[in-house]
Amino acid sequence: LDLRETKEELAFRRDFRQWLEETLPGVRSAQEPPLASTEEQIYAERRRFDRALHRGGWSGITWKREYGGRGGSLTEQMIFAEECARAAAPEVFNRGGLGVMGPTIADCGTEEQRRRFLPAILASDEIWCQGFSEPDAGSDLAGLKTWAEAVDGGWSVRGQKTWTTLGHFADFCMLLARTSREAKKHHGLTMFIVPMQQPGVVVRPIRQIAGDQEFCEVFFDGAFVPTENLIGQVGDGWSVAMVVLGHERSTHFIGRQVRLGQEVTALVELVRLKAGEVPSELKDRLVDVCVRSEALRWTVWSHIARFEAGGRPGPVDSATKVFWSDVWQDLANLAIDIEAAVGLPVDIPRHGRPDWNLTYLSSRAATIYAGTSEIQKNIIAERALGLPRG
Amino acid sequence: MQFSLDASEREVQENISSFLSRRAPVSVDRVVDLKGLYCEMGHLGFFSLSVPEAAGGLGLPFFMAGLFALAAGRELLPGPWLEHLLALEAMVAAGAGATELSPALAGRRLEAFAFTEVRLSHHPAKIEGRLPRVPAGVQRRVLLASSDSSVGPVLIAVGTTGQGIAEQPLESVDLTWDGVSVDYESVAVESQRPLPKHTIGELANKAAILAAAAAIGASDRLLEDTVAYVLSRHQFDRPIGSFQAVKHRLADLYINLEHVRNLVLAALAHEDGERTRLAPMAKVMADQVYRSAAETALQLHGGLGFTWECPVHLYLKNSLRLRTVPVSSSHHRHLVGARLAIL
Repeated sequence: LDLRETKEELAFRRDFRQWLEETLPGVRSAQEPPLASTEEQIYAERRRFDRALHRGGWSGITWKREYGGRGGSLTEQMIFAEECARAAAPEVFNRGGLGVMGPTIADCGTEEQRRRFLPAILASDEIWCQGFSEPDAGSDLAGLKTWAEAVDGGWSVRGQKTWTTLGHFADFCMLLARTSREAKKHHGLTMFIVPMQQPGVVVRPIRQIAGDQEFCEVFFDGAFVPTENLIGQVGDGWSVAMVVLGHERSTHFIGRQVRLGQEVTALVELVRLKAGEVPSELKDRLVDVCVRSEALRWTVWSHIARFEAGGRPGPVDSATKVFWSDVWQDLANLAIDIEAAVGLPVDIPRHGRPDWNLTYLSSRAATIYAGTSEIQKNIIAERALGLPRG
Repeated sequence: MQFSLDASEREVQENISSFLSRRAPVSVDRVVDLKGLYCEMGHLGFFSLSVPEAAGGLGLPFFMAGLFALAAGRELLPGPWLEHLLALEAMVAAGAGATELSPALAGRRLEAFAFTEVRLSHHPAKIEGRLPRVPAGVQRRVLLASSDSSVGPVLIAVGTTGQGIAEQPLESVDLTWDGVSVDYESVAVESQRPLPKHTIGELANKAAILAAAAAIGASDRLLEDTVAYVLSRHQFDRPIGSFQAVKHRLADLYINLEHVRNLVLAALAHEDGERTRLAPMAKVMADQVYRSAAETALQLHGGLGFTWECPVHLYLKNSLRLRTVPVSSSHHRHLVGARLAIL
């Protein structure tokens, strides 16, 4: 093990930190820091941040140079996330496009698709969503029913997707649909790039338990997809979906781990302020959360080392997904217990502090999205431990 | 930053593991000639890994000693290997040279370090005191001592037989480790050296990390053995490992084990203040995971797991002792809390 940061990594950190310091004031909403920004203000700020990153040449850290990225390492991606957290930068808006869908097009798309779509993702000129889950196909994703039928010059899509993050802002949807009724479940699927701005697509935001509307239902009623928007071959959709999930379960988690670390720090600071009032049993729980958050951090570094050595996403990434979601939920549970024990939130200004009730509510989704904990444990049991399918 | 074992690190780990699994494989009826085994390990350099070359060692990073601890935990290596390694670390920290260390490095003389402090009086140098719980079967003890005339702590070495030494065997829940209590009444010391004060904290960190590494090795083994068992055991005409309730319990263990492993490796790999921060964290989590690994293994071995003939109890009992090394988990939890300034 070599835990020292290289000269290049140190330089990357220094340069990006300096850029953030110079750029962030111009990105933040004029109203900041208020008690509550509206959802629209937050989205607008996130969009401004994406554009600034692109102008500054910081978009697509790990994307290849030939596609307009920086050609950087995952270590740099981690440093990027750490510095964003340190500076309390907005979350990247086109997260799915930059972290998951763009890299999938780079891996599985045609050269024309790469040229057509990657630059606009990188610039966040075009926002992407992911059309996988359906009302009747969640964990059993391959049981999905959305149907694409060959028509003149392309395909016509009918069906419904749900839990579609940022569907209401998206220009394109990476959509998994059934293209054969005869082929076996996993073999009858194909991956499409669906333009969202057309009459055959209707998007309805879903209000989530924390009150925000990040998810949507998307209805496809004869939506047209030109032939050149197919990713991979007809019937190859499942293997492309695995590439998507691979990106979702690996590199994507760098940012999540760093944000969790930030929230842990915020809770530690709160307890420090109220040290005399927080019962020792809650402090013990905080120690446990800190310890597990630290274990997560080093595990993410171990994943980075594995990927940089050419490793593929695997069941150990499922382990990190489950572990991260459990630690996050434990942190959020603890935070509201601590607030209840000391009579907060009343006498400490809210500014700069997470709203723990919202964090608690949001964290409940973490064990469900991107593959439920139950499904992840099946994956681990079967693929890491070699136990038979039930 | 490169957070993965390099080729030489993997080779060291594999060599130690394969030696131990050949020479002293864990089993309920294992009979080990400790003296012979420790001589062989000394001969192979297992105790010399992180000892500086000037002191007769191999001069490798402390990380390598951690790899030894992982392998030792996996095979439940019996005897005072951890206390022996710490004795060497302490003697090196106090400036002992190659000549003095060579019998311990070679495994010819088993030594044991204890954090318990005894009273030292001078002219001639004699100690008084009591060690409530230390390993049996060693030839020399390395102890911390204080006296009215010395400014800081003193590291002393003392034999285990002779006038004024009374050793009483203790009941030990851990079948791989025999303990004694020792009373010293005006006992002459073999050597004494001033010990830089900060080294006591460093020794405590190293002890915690080595114990944590052993817990990881043992948990790895429990997971592997339990997976093999649930694949071979059939009920309702299918392997019990095909039932989701069983699979998820093992998946939970795998998840926690993969994450605590990286925390322990990080604690092992740091040489600076970061080790002081990570060591108690690694120990707290390793203690939890090891115990739950042993409990999960016991549960999934069913009625067999509760019997003497199944080796799971050896690990469960080892986990109960290891969590008190060098001090209790609750002390390590306290250290983490103190460092976070939340207490």
